[in-house]
Parts: sequence; C-alpha cells; structure tokens
Amino acid sequence: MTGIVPSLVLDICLGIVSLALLFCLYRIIVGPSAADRAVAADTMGVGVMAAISLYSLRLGTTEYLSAVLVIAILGFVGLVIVAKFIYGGDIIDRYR
Amino acid sequence: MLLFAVLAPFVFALLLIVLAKPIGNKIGYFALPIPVMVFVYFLLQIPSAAREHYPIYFASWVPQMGINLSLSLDGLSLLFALLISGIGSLVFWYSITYLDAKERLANFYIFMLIFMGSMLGVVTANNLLIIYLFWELTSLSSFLLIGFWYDKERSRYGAQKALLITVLGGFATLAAFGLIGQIAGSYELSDVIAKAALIKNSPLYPGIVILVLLGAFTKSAQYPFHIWLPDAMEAPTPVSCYLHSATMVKAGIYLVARMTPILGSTMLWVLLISIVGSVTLFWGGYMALKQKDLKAVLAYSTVSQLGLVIALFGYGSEAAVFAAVFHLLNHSVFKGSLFLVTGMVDHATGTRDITKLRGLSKAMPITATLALFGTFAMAGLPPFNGFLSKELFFASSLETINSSFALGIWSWAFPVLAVIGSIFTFIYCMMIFFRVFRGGPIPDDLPHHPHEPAKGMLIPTALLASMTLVIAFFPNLFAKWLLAPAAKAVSGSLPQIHISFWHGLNMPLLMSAIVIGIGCLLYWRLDKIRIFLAAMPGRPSANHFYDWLIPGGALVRFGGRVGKTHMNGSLRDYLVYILCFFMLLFWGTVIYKDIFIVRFDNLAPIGAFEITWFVLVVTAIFTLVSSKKRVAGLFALSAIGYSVSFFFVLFRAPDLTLTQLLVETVSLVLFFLSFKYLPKDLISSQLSKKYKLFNALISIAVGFSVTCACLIAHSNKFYEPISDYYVASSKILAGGNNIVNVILVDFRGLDTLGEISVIVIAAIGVSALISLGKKHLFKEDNKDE
Repeated sequence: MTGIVPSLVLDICLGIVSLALLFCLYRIIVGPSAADRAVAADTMGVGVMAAISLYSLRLGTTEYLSAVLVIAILGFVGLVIVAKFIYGGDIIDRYR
Repeated sequence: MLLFAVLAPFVFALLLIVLAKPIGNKIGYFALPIPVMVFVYFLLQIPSAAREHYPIYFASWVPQMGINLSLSLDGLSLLFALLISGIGSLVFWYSITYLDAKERLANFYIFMLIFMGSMLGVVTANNLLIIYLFWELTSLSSFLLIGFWYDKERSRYGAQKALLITVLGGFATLAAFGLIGQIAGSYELSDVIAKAALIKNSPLYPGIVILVLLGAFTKSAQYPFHIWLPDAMEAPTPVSCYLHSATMVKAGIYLVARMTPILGSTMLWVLLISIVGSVTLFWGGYMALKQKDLKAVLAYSTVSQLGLVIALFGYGSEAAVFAAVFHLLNHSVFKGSLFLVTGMVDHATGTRDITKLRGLSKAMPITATLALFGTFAMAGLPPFNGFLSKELFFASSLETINSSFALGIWSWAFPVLAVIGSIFTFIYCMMIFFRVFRGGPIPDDLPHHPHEPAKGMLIPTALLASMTLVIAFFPNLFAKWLLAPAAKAVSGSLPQIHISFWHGLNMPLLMSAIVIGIGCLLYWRLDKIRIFLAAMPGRPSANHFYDWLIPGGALVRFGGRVGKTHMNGSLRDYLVYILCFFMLLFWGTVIYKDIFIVRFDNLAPIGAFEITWFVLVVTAIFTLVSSKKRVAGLFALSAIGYSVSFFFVLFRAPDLTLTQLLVETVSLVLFFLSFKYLPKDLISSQLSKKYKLFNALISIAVGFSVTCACLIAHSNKFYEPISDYYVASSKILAGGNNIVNVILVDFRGLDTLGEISVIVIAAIGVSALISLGKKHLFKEDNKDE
C-alpha cells in the first residue's frame, strides 16, 4: 500500500491533525461550559481516528483499522451520555 | 475397622443431621448405641494391645507434606479410647433423662458425637499433624458444647474463654509439631520416636518443649491456664462430666505422655512438668475450698487432680508413669461419677449451692451412696481405688528427692506440695459429702423438693461409681491388661508393679495418715477455715488478665487503635501506602540485586510525532490535576486516554490501542453513571500547599521509578526473551498466527479460565448487590425528590 499516497502528504496531514487535536485540548482546558468540553472531547476522538488512519497508511498496514472502527462505533456513546448528563443530571431513567 | 471405630461418631453425626426431624425427641436412643459399639470394639482390642499386636491403619493423604492418615492403637491409646467411649456411653445414657425434651437435642447429640470422634482421633492418631487436626476439632466441638445454652451470657463467656485458651495452645502445638517434623524429617510418630536423640540435641529443643507444653497445659487446665475450666462449667452437667473431667482435659495429659518418649527425661522437661503439675495440684485444691457452687468445687478439684497426674508424668520414673496412668483411670471414674451425682442433685433440688444444701441423704439415699463412693475415692480413703493411686503418687514424689534431677533441699517441695494438695483434696471431698448429704434436716427453702432421680440417671452413675470399688478390689487385673501396656508406651519398659492395699509401714502410708489426720482436724473447723479462705485472695490469677484483654475489650481497642492509624478511609492515603510500598520493593530489589544498569542505546527514535503527542498528554495531565470541576477533569482524562492510545499506534501495538480505546469509553460511561453520587467540585482547591507538594513528590517519585524500571528492563537481558519461543512455536504447536491470542487461549489457557471465573464471580456479586440494593437505593431517591 505504501506509495499510493506520497509520505510527504501523509506527514503534512498528520501535522494538521495534531494541530487540530491541540486546539481541541485547548477547548477542553478553557471550557467554558461542560458542553464545549464534551464536543471538544468527541472531536478529539475523531482526530485520533484520523491520525490512526493516516498512520496506518504510512505504515501500510490494516492492523489498526479495528481501533478506528471502535472509535467510530463507540465514540458517540460517550457524547450521548454526556449530553444526557448535561440535560438531566442523571444517566438512567429510573422508574419512580 | 480401627478407622471405622474412630470415624463412626462423625458418620453418625452426619446421619443424625438428616434423621433429627423424623426422630424428634427420641434422638438420644438413636445416638446411644454408637459410643456403646465403639466401646465394645475397643474392649475387644484389649488382649491384642496387651500382647503388642495392636491394630494399625495407614493411608497416604498428602504424602508431599508428610500427612498420612495413620492410626494405631497401642496401650496408651487404648486406655484413653476406652475412657472416651466408656464414659461417653454412660454420659449419653444419662443425658437422655437429664436433658429436657424441649432442648435442642439434635444439636446436643451431634456435637457430642463430633467431640467423641475427635477425641478418639487424637488418641489413636499416629501422625503428628493428624493429632493436631483432631486436637483442634476437640477445641471446636467443646466450644459448641460449652455454649450449648447460648442464650445465657455466662455460657457464651465460658465457651469463648475455653476456645481462645485451648486454641492458643493448639497453635503452639502446631508450631512444635512443625519444628519436630523439620528436625526428624517425618511426622509419623514411630519415625519421630526413633529420632528422639536428634531432637533432644537440636538447638531448637527448648523451644519445642515449651510449645508442646503450652499446648498440653492449656488443654489440661494447668496453672496459670486453668482459668477456662471453672467457667466451662456453664455447660450442661453431662457435658461437664464428659469434657471437663473424663476426656478433653485428659487430651493435654495424653500429649505429655505421648511426647515423653520423644522429648522426655531431660532436666527442662522433668522440672517444667513436675513444677507446673505440683503448683496446679496445690492451687486447684486451695481454690476448690473457696467455692460455693458444687460444680465449681468439682471444677477446681479437676484442675488439682490433673495437676497431680501431670506432676507424676513429670517425675518420669517407671513407677511414677505407672501411677500417673493408674490415677488417670481412677480420676476419670470417680470424678465422672461425682459430676453425674452433681447433675442429679441439681436436677432434684434446683440448686448447687453448698451453703444451701443439707442432709440430702434422707431424701436421696441411693444418690448419697454413689456420692460417698466418689468422694471417698477422690479423698484417697481405703477401700476405694483413689487410695491405691494416691499411695503410688506419694511413693513417686518421695523418689524425686533421690532422683538424678535433684534440686538439693528444694526437691522436698514435691512431696510437701503433694501432701498439702492431698489435704485440700481430702477436706473438700469431705465437705461435698458431709455438707450436702449429711448435716441436719433438709432445708425448706430449696427451689424443688428433693427426690430420688429417675433410673435413667441413676443407673449410669451407679455403674461408674461402682467401678471405684471394682478397680480397688482387682487392681492387678487392670494393671496387667490396661495400665502396664499404657505405661510401657510412655516409659518404654513394662512396669512390674504389684498393687495392694497394704505395703507395710512405710513413708507413703505415713503421708496418707498425715493427710487424713490433718484433714480431719481441719474439717472439724471447716466453717472458720472457709471464712478465712473467703477472705484470702484468689490471686495471682490469669483471670484478671483475660477479663481485661478479651471481654474488657483491651485487645479490640488496641487493634482498633492500630487499625485507625493507617486504615483511615481515605483512598488517597491508601494509594500513598501502595505506591510507597511499590517503590520500596522496586528500589530495594534494584539495590539488593545491584542491577541499576541503564543504557540509552538501542532505544526507539524520538521524532516530531512523539513530541507532539507527548505535549498533548502532558498538557492534558496538568489540566486534569488543576481542574476545579469534576466534569472538566473527566474530559481531560478522556483526552489523555485518546492521546495514549495513539502512543500505542506509534509503538506498533494494535491490540493495546483497541483495548485502551474500549477502556476509555467504558470508564467515561461508568464515571457519568456514578456522577450523581459524587460531589461536583473537586476538593483539591481546598487542600494545603504542603499536602499538595507531598502528593506531587510521590507522583514524581513513582513516575521516575517506573521510568527507571522500564529502562532497566530494557538494558538488562538476564534471560532470553520468552517471546522468541512463542514466535517459533505458536504456529506449530497451537496453529495460530496471532501470538497474543495463542498465548491467551492456548499456552496460558488455564490462566485465562481463572481470569474469566474471577469476572463471573464479580458479576454474580454485582448482580446480588443490585438485587439487594434496588429497593433501598430507590427509596432514598424518592426521598430526595
């Protein structure tokens, strides 16, 4: 697979993704609201996803793609839970 | 057959659990045949034991540790086994009438059977560790029996005391057995006896002796460990008779006798045993005279008589050992019958207070006769068996003066203590008989009107009491078939002693005459003496220490104080302990093994990516540490997790990446689930600078240690890495390309199974917690809203 995309391009892309992650982290640090942080954390997950994909391309392997899948499939669970928490202050609707 | 005889009580105890319901309150009749059958079996073994063709049983149990289920029935074992099963039969018989049908009879007979089985196990076992096993079982079952009326506070106190003291001794015995096994290389008694010289010359010998004797003295209620026995009298009277006069307390004596061929005839052994025995003989007699409760008198009298037997084993000469064995038999017979008599008196009158009881012989003539047999035998009066063994005791105590372990003038202390102890014995025996059964009309203020007890109680007591005369008139028959083989197992040679009432005018007879003379003189002024004795202190007694330590709660308070110093409930502190201990372990090993070699060559290169992600992780960590809100901290944690997962990508570990991401997601979910129950603000802002600095120091130190550990592991290749083996053989042996998978499910499949079972157990626990806690949890929720 190596060679389909020039490695220079991949390096530049990875640099951009890393920068994006740093910005996400900045948002996580400053906030100000919990919702900002939640979205930033989720975006960070997407960034990691992108970084792993790019890195796999660079290494020419498919071994890491399951990790990418996990973020894609489960990453939203975190966001949903946080959203629910921010909305109602609790996660499970308990019977009353 | 021997094995079955020992295990039969256990088997039937199990059966009784099942049968208890259908049988109901007739359960005693079903339990009675077992001790009788066992007794008959042991009776049939007398000829073979006397000819030294005794039955043995051997089976490997845990051969790696030298534990074999080996039993043997030599003369000593047989004597004890006969006492246990014989008196056991009578006590079972007696209990049928004694215990009310409303009592928890099933429990009683099951405990009694377990106790009987364990006692038989102790005396027949031929392996030290098996002896220990049954030894602890006797402590446990006697605890259950003493606490039979557990709704009474005194019963619980007595049961706990007996258990704690005897188990303390049991533990010492185990330690001693372990040491003996280490030196002799075997736990089999016969092997150990063969190596006796080796053990005696070992530097550990004094320690072994003290530990063994600690076990024996606690069990046999020797001074100062006798304190549990009087309190154990809270048990039902048949139990007191069986455990605390005839059998359990004799287990300690058995241990001393059994260990004499291995540890005996040294200065330490002889002096320790004979001094403790003599002091106990004296102290038990003295304390017995102070008591008001008939059973308490008997309890202290048992302490005193056990001291006598122990002292005799201590003297150690052939004649002394024979006398010890003889007195052991006699004591079981007369003390057993006296306890049964006490039970009948208690049953008939409703009280055991000596100061209240008077003249019972008018209402209970048969009981009074039986009491006469018991008390006169114990006092050592002819023509009862006690006279014969007491004469032998005096003769042996005189021998010590000229023995090789002479203490100079002090060796006169033994005969003097023997005489004083016997005078006490004489006085309280007379007191029991003449105060309770004679001495005026029956008082009117007794709780019940006294009457002759039922046949079910009278006959077993009569059988036992008549033995005092049978033994006295045919002593040489018993000596030949029972006592001499038993004595031979202890002293190694068959004693040739002819027992008779009249030995001519000699010192022992003179000592007996002194005892009876002074005894009668003192008894004449008994009331004054008792007033005087009541004013005398019962000290020094270990009771104060025990009461301060256990029921007084000193031990618990001390434990609580020790616990509170470090178990303060703060998770942070626990983490500090764990981390500090980890560092101690790590640096200790590094310094001890001298392996601090760190090489920086051959490390993975550090490029722009690594630096970028490092910045990400470190920034997120500082964010986490400095965040004031819990939610904000959580997102920082999530950012760390994601960043770390990319490190795994960089280091070519796809499975770890996957795991890290899954863990990240799950922990986020779990955190939010529990968020409702946690305070919103992190308390770190309220903590002092000093506290934070300490935390930071610990964190940095741990980080540094882990870094060093990684570097050291990388720089030192002590062994070939195991991964090569897996790379080479995972395809060939297990048919899989993924080494990690193959290791998990194949090479270390059992480990994985274990881990899975842990998860299953945890899951069961969680589901139990949820189903238990649901109602409770939501009730609280409703209150909030």
